[in-house]
Amino acid sequence: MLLSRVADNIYWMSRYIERASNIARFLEVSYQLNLDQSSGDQEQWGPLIEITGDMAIFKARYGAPTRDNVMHFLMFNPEYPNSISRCLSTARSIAKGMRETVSDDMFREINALGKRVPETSREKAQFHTRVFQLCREIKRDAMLIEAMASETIERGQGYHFWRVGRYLERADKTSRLLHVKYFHLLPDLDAVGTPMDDLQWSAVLDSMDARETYIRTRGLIVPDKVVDLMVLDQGHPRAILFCLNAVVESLYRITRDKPGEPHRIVEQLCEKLLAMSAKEIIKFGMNEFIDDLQLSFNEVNNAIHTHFISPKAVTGGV
Amino acid sequence: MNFEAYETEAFFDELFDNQGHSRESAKLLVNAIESLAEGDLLKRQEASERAMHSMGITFNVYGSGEGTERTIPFDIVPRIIDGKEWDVVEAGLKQRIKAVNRFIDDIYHDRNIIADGVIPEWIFTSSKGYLPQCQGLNPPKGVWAHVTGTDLVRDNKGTFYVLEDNLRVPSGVSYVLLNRTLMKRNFPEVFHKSRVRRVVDYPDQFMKMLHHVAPEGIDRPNVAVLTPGIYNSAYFEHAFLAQQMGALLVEGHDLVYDGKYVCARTVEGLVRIDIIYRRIDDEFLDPEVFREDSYLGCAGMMKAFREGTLTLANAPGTGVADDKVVYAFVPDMIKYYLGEDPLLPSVPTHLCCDDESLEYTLDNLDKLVVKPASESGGYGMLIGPKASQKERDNFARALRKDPRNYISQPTLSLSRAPVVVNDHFEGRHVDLRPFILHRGDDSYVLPGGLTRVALKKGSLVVNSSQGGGTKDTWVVDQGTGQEVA
Repeated sequence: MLLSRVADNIYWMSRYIERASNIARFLEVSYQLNLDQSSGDQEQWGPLIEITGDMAIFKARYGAPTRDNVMHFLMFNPEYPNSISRCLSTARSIAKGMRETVSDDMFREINALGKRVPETSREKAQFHTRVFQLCREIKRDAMLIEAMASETIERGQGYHFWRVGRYLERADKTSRLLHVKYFHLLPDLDAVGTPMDDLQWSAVLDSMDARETYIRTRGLIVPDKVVDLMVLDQGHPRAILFCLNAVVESLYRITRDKPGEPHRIVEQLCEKLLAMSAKEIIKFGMNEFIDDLQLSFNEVNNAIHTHFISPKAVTGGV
Repeated sequence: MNFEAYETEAFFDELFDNQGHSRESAKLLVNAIESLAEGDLLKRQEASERAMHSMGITFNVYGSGEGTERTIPFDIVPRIIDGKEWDVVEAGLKQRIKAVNRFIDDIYHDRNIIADGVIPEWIFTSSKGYLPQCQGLNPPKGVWAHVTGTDLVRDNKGTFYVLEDNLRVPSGVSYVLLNRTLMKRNFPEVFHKSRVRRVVDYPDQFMKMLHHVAPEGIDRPNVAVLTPGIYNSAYFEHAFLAQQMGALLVEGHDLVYDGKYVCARTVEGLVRIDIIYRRIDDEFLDPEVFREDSYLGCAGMMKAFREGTLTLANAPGTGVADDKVVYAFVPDMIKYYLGEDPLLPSVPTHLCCDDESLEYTLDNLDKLVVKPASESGGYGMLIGPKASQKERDNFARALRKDPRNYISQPTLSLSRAPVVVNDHFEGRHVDLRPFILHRGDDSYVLPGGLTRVALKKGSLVVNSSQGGGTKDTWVVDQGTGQEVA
């Protein structure tokens, strides 16, 4: 038996941890990418803010997207709700509010992780090294927590809400990453196919831990094949279709195979993706395609809320 | 670190006799501590405190705003109680809880104890914990107080006295279980040899007791722990118990009354709840019956309780016996209902409503402890010998104004136990809160209980809300253990 309130908490705790670890991935890769740029090139930190969709908030607070500003905003800012620091401390306070549901090992890890970023911000170590190191730790700890969830929690409804939250968040972040690569990293269309373009694609793959998979399965870097991996691959755990398949699977486990509105929306989305090729997506227009995707993700999120969480939906009796 | 310089002074010490020798039951422990390498004990103490932080065993401090998290200070030297002595305490507690439950049931039915002139009627009509709404109700198996946390103290002769009965929502048992976990980690060898009675099965005992008092005809009852939520100072305990018992942890807004049953809102719709172990006070349970502005409970809960579709533990109304005036009559209740002499003495109590006692209290304010009848948590009391003249004058005024609300007791010279203070041991006053689970025909008493310790030098107030700490409590059975060793 899973309380609606607890289901909601699990879902969001999972999303926040996944969100933090995605931002950490993006930060780490951007840092690496900028290190690799020849000295004449301008460093590119603005696109990282674009991924979050919160450029307006950033500009109002920091002005120019310099390296230090962007690092601080995304890692430490205690007021910005999507900073790594805030995501993790939110996850921590949610976990504190459902100690009875989270296994002890998991709780300890989430508890420690939620305190780490604010604690590190008080250290006097060198700023960049510190951020870089934190990114790696957060990525690793998020995976550790995931492993604990997978090894310590029974495959009941709670576990599957955890899984739905994680994969929905991940699908969303992968789509944003793609969006940014297309529209912000290389705005100059003439530069497509240059070494810089390749380097950027390679960095995008890196932040998904997908570069080796790509090279093994698809060879040299070609944009539409990268899109194929990021969107349509059913075997790579960060590809959008993979994530959506996982969401559908868990939704059915939650409802014991009964279909519902959230199931329907995600299944439709999967069918749509299955019927497309990467080339078609690009032809269709990447911008519109990604906008559509993100609208659908929001729809799924709302449907989950209405179906499982909001009191109106659950007064129907046993 | 050793006990060579440790002074018991004029107090009864839990580990040492007045010659400074360790008590028989504490020998193994004292030897083990003294054989540790220098600094080792402190290291273990610090490791325990770190463990509490990482496990999130923190409580929120009232009135200090969000985000103030503290752990209750934990002292690593356990308090030891001899098994044979404990057996007497245990029998005394069982006897007491049985009588008190009979009393509550009597008060809400025929009131024979009043008709027979044992207790004056005004005692309960003026008690804040008496709920007219509970008149005539019949909780399953006649149990009203399912969980009790009775506070015991020892005087300078080592005699155990009952200080008060916490019959409403006593807290602290999670610390008993967690302290034990930490101690097993810290002193595995001596723990094993000491033959310490186990506490680990408390959640199972609890669940068994609840199943026993389930509504009629329910085979596998759905059990929930009702918490006011994360900002409550005892939230950790609520979550811990729910987790350990395999119960649902619910807040008021998770519940809804469907006209017959109290149900939980789940992802699959409404699911009936059969038993609620509630950790909120009576007045917040049901806004239709008690406080209208309460959002901690659920409207309709009292209907379900009245109709018997829901068991509430503890039952509403138990507070009538959790009143320091009523406390004074518990020995009479034991005689009246059970025809037995009390096995555990109560502290001699003067009821200030009685003119003679009031005068005596006023004349001896510098020697007595004065307590409000219906407060808990150590709030609002006067410890005469420690108070200033001004505080005593203020209390005298309050006493004259509302004598019914006060009792006075002699200031007991509470027993002490050694605690770690930096690099040495010092004696601090302790009390003991055993937990009793009552199921009607029988009771279970958690061996030992929560030892609370007044960490401030000389202080007699052990409440965690007032700077007290805790210790693990070992009830040890001697004889066989040392042969094994």
